[in-house]
Amino acid sequence: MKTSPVKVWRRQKTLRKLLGMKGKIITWTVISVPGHKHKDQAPFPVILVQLENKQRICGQLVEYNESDLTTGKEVVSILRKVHKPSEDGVIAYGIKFRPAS
Amino acid sequence: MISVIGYHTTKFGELWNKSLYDLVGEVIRGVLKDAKLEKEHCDAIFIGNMLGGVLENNLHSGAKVAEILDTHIPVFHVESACASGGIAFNMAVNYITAGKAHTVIVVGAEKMTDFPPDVTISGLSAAASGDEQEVGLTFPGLYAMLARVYMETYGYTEEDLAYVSVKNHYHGFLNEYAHFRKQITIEDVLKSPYVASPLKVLDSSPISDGASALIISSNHQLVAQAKYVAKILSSEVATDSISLKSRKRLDELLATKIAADKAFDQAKIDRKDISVAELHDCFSIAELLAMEDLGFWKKGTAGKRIKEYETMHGNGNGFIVNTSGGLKAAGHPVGATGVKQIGEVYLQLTGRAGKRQVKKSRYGLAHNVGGSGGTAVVTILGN
Repeated sequence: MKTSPVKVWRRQKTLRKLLGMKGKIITWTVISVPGHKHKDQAPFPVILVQLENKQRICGQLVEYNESDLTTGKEVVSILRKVHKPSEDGVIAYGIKFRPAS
Repeated sequence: MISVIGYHTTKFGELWNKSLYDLVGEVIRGVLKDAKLEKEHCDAIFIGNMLGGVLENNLHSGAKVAEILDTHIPVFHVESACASGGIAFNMAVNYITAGKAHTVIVVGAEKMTDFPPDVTISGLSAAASGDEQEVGLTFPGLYAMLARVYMETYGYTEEDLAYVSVKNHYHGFLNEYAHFRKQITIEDVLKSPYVASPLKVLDSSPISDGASALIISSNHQLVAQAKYVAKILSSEVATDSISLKSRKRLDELLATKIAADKAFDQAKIDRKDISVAELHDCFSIAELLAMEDLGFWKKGTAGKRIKEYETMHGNGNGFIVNTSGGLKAAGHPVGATGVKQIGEVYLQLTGRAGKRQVKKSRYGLAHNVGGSGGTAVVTILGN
């Protein structure tokens, strides 16, 4: 279950295409019991979003109020650290969302 | 025709004094005894296990089983997440059908409680997509997302889901091999803490150790000599996109619908013929979706019908679901679950289910799911 730095690098190559995109929450949850990579973040909300281009992606919601956790809420994609660094010290960045307004 | 002629299971739970292969050896010896056979009667073994390689660097199960049994027959390791046991059974059936064997042992086994829960949870997440793993989605989280869609689409509440857990804990109370033998109330479920909202601890199956084994055979002489026999009428598999984001609908598991339609067609029976069913209730929402996707209840009605407890033992309507306690109360050692489900149906059809026996059971169904619905296997037995 180790994270290869090469795997992190490969996945991050496509991230820029997904930044700054608007979409709406299709469904959501708040993870209270996480796996070990996200242990320090719990509880944290994860949302499934349909972007304006109809593409669907999931990500954590940040900079939010409780009332933002609603199906249909507009959100925008941003770049954030997604979990704690690997043993090699590589920090994995990925897509998260914040409320659009 | 291929038949089930023997079954054995360990108790499910926190079995800290036993290793994965202690459990495997125990159920192989147990199932041979139950079927009154010697190992020389068996042509091959299929073993379903998900986490041995992920959690404890424990693979090459074929050679390990060969050492336990002192045998040289083919042993095949099958991995398909929480459907590993059901798929192992399906492959064993197909292996016999293809003419490669007459009599096969099917084992399902898992060791999950040797590790801290967050490590086991991360191991289970290996069965999710890379994207879902990276954002921190767990399997409770994925099913929670499905639950929210279902609740918001059809107007149900967390209380409506809780009835599944109450029913299955009652059945677990009747099963001496169940992880949890304690009855619970709706209030207990609603007061339990969230794992991934809207799903709570008592909406969720536990992390368990355990193993189960079946013997299936097409050998006419062995089947004729066997004291307890159930015919395998069908075993069908279907798959779906691993990611929720790629699915057209989130209020169903399409793989279950496809596998069920194929299984009923193959078995040549109707839904109303089924007396007992073991469904994959890894979470309360999963049993509601399964009741609809398997075609027992109309889409969108399960949240209402479950409240009548019509599928609870003793309610006498002729169709009882998850008599073992399901994954929720019997426990969920993931590789073992699919084998245990078929074993429970076999016990019911052969009149050996003790306090949870459903009278006049003629046909039974087992439904085993991998991941959040990426794999489904539906098996129908008859007597």
